[in-house]
Amino acid sequence: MDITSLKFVIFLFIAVLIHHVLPSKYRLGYLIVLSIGFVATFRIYLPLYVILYTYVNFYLGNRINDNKGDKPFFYAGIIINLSQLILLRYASFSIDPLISLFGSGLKVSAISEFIVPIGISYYTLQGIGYLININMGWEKAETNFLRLLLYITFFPKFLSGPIERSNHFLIQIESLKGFSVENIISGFRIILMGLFKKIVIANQLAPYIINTYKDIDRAPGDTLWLLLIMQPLYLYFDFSGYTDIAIGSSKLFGINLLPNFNRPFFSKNMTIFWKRFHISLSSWFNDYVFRQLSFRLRKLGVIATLTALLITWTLFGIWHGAGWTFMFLGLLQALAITYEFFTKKWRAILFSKVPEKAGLWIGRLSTYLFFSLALTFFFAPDMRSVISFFKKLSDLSFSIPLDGISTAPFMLIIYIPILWIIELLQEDYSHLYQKFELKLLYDPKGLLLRWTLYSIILTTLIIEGFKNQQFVYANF
Amino acid sequence: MRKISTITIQFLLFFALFSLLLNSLYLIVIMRTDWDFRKRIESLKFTNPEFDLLILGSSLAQYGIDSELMTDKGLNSYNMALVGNSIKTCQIQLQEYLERYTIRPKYVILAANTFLEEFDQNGIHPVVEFTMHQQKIDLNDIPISKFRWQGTELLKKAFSAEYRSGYLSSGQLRRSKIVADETENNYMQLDVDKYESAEWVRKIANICEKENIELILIEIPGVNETQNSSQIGPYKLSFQDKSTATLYNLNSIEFCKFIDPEKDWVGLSHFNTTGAAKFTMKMLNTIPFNVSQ
Repeated sequence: MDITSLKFVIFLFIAVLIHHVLPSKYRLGYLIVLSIGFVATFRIYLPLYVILYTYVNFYLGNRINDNKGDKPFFYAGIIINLSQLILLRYASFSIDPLISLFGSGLKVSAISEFIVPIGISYYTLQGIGYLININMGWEKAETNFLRLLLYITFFPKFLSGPIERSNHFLIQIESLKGFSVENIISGFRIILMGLFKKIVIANQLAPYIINTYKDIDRAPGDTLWLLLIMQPLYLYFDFSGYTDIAIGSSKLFGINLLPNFNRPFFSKNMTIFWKRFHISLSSWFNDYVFRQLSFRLRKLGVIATLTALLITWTLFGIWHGAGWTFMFLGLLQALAITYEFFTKKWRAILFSKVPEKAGLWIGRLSTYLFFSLALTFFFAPDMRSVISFFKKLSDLSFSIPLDGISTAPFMLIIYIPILWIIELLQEDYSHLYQKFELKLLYDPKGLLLRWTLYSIILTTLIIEGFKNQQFVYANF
Repeated sequence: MRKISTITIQFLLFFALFSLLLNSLYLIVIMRTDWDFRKRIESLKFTNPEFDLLILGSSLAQYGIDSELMTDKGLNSYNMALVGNSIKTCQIQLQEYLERYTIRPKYVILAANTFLEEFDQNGIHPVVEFTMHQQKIDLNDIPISKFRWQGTELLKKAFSAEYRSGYLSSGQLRRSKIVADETENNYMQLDVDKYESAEWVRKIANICEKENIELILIEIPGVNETQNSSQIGPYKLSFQDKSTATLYNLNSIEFCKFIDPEKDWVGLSHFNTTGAAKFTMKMLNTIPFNVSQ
């Protein structure tokens, strides 16, 4: 079920209504039934696999808890989690070529046609994180299997996150909250914003980005420059739109999910950027890979940090897919962060000579540009296309790709700046924004303005229609 | 729960009222400013039109055929082409015109382009559908959704003075902007069969046959990469139902030699005012119209 469809909105509406009518003791079971049903809409066998996966982690979690200091269960858990991920997601790149070296035509990747690996990259990280938490003593093993099952399958986050932490999620479902007007209004408000970002902005940009990458050799340089500038916005509105829908939907049931974005394009360097973009993933890699590695290699000093950075970001790249392009994407981030780490003092001296605001905006612009360039590795199907893309950037005719005849989504030149101004206010003029937010969202006198705003957003959603355009991050 | 139900009902009522006001306002603005809407309304309000020639087609014909020039040359013409028009809509427009007015045109020019198949299958143009005789209005006719394209056009006009300066003349949309054609010839071949097998072209040919109107099909010129290396013609077409038409391949490289790729286009195979005048003159010299002086 596509979560930007009208079908999902109706499903959600009814599901929330029933949830709050039910006595609290039935709510956990009800949410599990909903989530399993949601997972089954993608492939009928998928819930069976996910239940089995959860049970293995449930069992191992308890064994780790019972046998503190005894590592086999922990290592077994990590190996099992990673193996099933490699088997179902990376077999065609890693296992099949190995088997073919021995002259066998066996295709292990065929398993993934039976057990469709939807959401696997997300729930595997959640599973591993849960086991590490227990092993490190950061949380106790869950004793109620159903709670762990809901943690893994909870439908708003199952497809594309946010990658929830078990010690943040499980504690909330110990006693599922009752009806709260604030939660309902706030949940629907976040969903509305998410639908706007996804349907009204990202879906309009999608055909241009996707079609251009399908045939880079035919695209003129001017179009590629425009694409280069637009692709971070496309990814951001697509994914943060999805995240908003997930967070808002979850809030309707009284469950708060972790935030995934925090105005990333106002970051003054890449180190800060990755604390604000796909936060749940980057913080997962930071906590469970980078810190663990840095700690284990601590005797090596700076080399430990560098090695940990390189491994973490390479794995981060590979998490997106097994291919050279994704590996380069990760390596580029490692290079940028390493550069920022070693030039921190030098840059501070340099920027002390320019006005503070100017320095801030130079940082923001260069961060955006770096991310734009790096995203070419994310969207391009292979390295040849990446090279072709960069070569063609010099092929300029200085014609404007958006002429009067064009059917380009011109409305975006209104929508994107509006959202950008809102984020700018939140970032740089927070006092002003808070006043504005207070007036608009909570002041009874602002009701008419508030409802007008909601009506405008609803109208734009109706205009653009609840069209199906897959989320970029649904592929992982 | 009662509080949230009350708020929901109140908001839904507010939204309904808001939508009603917004859509009414939008419809009024679009009807007054949109070129397609204005032309459509104009074509429905003619008093005893005596056109010798009607031009049907999409935006390529709307931009590219100078009906005022044709009238000056003795062929009283009106350009009924609309942006994104399908051949099916052209058939509806022609049928409506013949039902509404008594004097038959001598000729109908149906301007198609290289993407004929796509336009032959398309649905009805929203402006035509909305203003069709006895058309029932339903939820799909919510103006702000149905006339999305017209809204985009309005936005283009708001942002671009040049776009705003475009104007209608006897149904032709005139724009003076120049966008050079930098594409190269692909030396394609004209596909005559696609015309004979096109369902809605056949229906138009059938109407013309019954009404004693000469149907002239033209493949309208496009930028270099769309042009073909086939002969100009004419090609005699005969359809399944025995109706006939004449096709002129005006998108042949040979015919298109008059086009100055640096000056005659406004973008994406659409002629600017200069290009349209040159094309219309060349077309008048190529097609043997019986001109009443």
